[in-house]
Amino acid sequence: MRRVATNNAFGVLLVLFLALFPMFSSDFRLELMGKFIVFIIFAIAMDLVWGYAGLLSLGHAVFFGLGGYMLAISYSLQNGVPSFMTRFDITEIPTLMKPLQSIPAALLIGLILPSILAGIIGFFIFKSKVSGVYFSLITLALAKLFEMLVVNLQMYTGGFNGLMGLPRFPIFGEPMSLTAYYYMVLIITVLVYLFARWLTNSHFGKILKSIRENESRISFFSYNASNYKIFIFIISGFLSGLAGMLYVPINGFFSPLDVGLNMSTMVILWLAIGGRGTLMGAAVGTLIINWMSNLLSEQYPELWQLFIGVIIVMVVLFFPDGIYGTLKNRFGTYFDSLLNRKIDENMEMEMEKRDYANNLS
Amino acid sequence: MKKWLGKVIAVGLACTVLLAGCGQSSGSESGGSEGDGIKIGVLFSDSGVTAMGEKGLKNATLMAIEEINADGGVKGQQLIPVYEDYASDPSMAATKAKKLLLQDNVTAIVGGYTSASRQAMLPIIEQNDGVLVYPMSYEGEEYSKNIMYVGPVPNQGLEQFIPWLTENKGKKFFLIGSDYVFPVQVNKQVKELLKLNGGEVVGEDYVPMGQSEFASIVNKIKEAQPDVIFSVLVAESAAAFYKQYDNYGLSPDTMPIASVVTNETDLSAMGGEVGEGHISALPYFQTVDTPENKEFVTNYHAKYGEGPIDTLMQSAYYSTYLLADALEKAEDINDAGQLIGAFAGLEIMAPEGEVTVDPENNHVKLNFRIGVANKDAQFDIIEESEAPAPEPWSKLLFPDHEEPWKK
Repeated sequence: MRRVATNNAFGVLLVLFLALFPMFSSDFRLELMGKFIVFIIFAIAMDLVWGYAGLLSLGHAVFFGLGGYMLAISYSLQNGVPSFMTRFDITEIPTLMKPLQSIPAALLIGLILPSILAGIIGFFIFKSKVSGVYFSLITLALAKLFEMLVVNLQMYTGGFNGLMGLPRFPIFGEPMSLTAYYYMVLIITVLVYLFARWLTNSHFGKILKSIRENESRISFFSYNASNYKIFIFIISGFLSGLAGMLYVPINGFFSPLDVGLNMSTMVILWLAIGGRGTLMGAAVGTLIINWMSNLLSEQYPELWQLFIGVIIVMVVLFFPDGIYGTLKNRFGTYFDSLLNRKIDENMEMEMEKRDYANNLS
Repeated sequence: MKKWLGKVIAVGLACTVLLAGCGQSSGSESGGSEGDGIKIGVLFSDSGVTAMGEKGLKNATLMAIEEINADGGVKGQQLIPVYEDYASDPSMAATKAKKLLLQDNVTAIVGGYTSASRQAMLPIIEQNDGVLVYPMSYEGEEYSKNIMYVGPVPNQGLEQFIPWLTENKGKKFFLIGSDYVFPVQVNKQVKELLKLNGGEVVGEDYVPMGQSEFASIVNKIKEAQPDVIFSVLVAESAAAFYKQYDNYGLSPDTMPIASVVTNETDLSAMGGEVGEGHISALPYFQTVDTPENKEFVTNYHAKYGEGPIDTLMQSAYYSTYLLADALEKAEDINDAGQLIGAFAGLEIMAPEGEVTVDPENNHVKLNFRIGVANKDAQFDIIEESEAPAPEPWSKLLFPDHEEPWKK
């Protein structure tokens, strides 16, 4: 008999809430929520790497940004040579960027390129057994490098000023409405969540977790830890690129500040607050921190960052497993038993009957 | 025991902060009479990389609103400022602009700092038919029917400055700038103007934003021996460059740094001794001798303390006054087209002197001044005149560019 877990009950409630959200929210709030749901995909991608494989990547926004920039540049190329190019006397679209003129091609490239980059980086880092803080430092440098690259290649990327006026996903000709786009994002996010859950519960996921706990022991059992790490890094890069591409149309703007150190640390924060190592924690942390930042900054434009800082310190002090992680650890079993009491009662009766039958015979 | 103590202190701190916050917010809400008033969005950064520069603009804007209200407001109604912090993040600027327009229903927004922040807001403002009053100098080549560009575009600073430099300081120019759109655009016009005035470029260099190491560039300058170093370095790079110029024993007597950006705030960041003798051309200096400016400087210092006042803050200040005049003039202030239309042709006595809004292109005709920095981190004004009319698309670079406002 399958037991109903807290995770599922909570997940269903959350999805239900998000699905009903457009009915009672203003367009502005709906757009914000849509953006945050996109962030959940990014947080899940990061969670796979940090929460499950124990690799603290400080430059994950590189993959997010790479995906995003492919789509954003593609949008900018739709009406001939964009103004950020003509400013630097480029009168023809460079050959390397020609494929991006087609949006479907850009969508594909935006998924493949981050995965390939993740694969290459993963290959060099993990095959040479770099780990722990050195891994974090390399990824940190990578984030800074990517940011500088985007800024300095301004004739191709729009530079520091970024790319503006991007439309809402006109894949099939006409741009989508906000609500349609919102539901598309929500469905994709649920699919990503289910995929990540399947992955982490599989044999592969268990090995990942054992790598996190004790890498030398799992290597001793003849598992090649670095291959597993490269693989999860590629998947994470793929999902981050996906998140970046979904973010571009809903934000309508893409600049180096969306792809560099800032974004890389934000996603770590969401995970730390929500609870790393639990996929639901990634979702909870992302929603809580983003909504709090937005609402507090509206209420207290001068002090909001102080509040957020204090809240983060408090969570780290009192709930080191994050909000969802702690709730799950402390009350998870209680909720589980609540949800399963009926089932348990039935089972107990069955058992008693069986015992009785056994005694008789 | 120790752990326990730490937690208690943390909780205590958090409670104090929260209480302080609540106290402050309830105070500010009771200040303005909600309901009947004209809501004005004020959108600058209180945190992040450009917060240092933006704070002054925010202060000046809020001060102007307060003064206008003390004078009886607009159409008998008080202006209600709705302030939002966008944390130096262009994406957040776009979000906040949307919030101000859709949630708060503000009549207009005064704000924006970097071109990135303006560009991020532009589509939002246009889609929701709002009005943005943008107080910064910027690179031009832009026109939106929903934006009032109150700061100068490059041609307004350069058309008189370059001939003055070639006449008084020499013909050989070394161009240096931060590597983004604004400096590149400015230097394009500088090069054209030099051709017209018989000057020549002996070197050109761009450094990444935020760079503070200039040893190799100073060496290049020493080799090239220019008469003028024309700098479009911004923020911390400017201060660092002036300092290292000084350290390497170069002298403004033979090789001054000329700039259309470096203002009093930059001077006080690098120190008066370092900046002394270098030249800037800007619409406004704190030392401008008009009654309006004396009042502005005295009031600002009384309200926010004795800090440097620069052209950008002044611009934010009179932008708000321009907005008030436009609100007064427009029949239906909630119609963006009418409100922007009401700006056209407005004249105002700003601290910098008379300022006129161009009748067509949403830009502004300002003043032109050349100042030489002194050791008190202020400028001695040596030239004063009216600046030429704003050309968002410089006639020099784009002789037959279409004029989008004529459509």
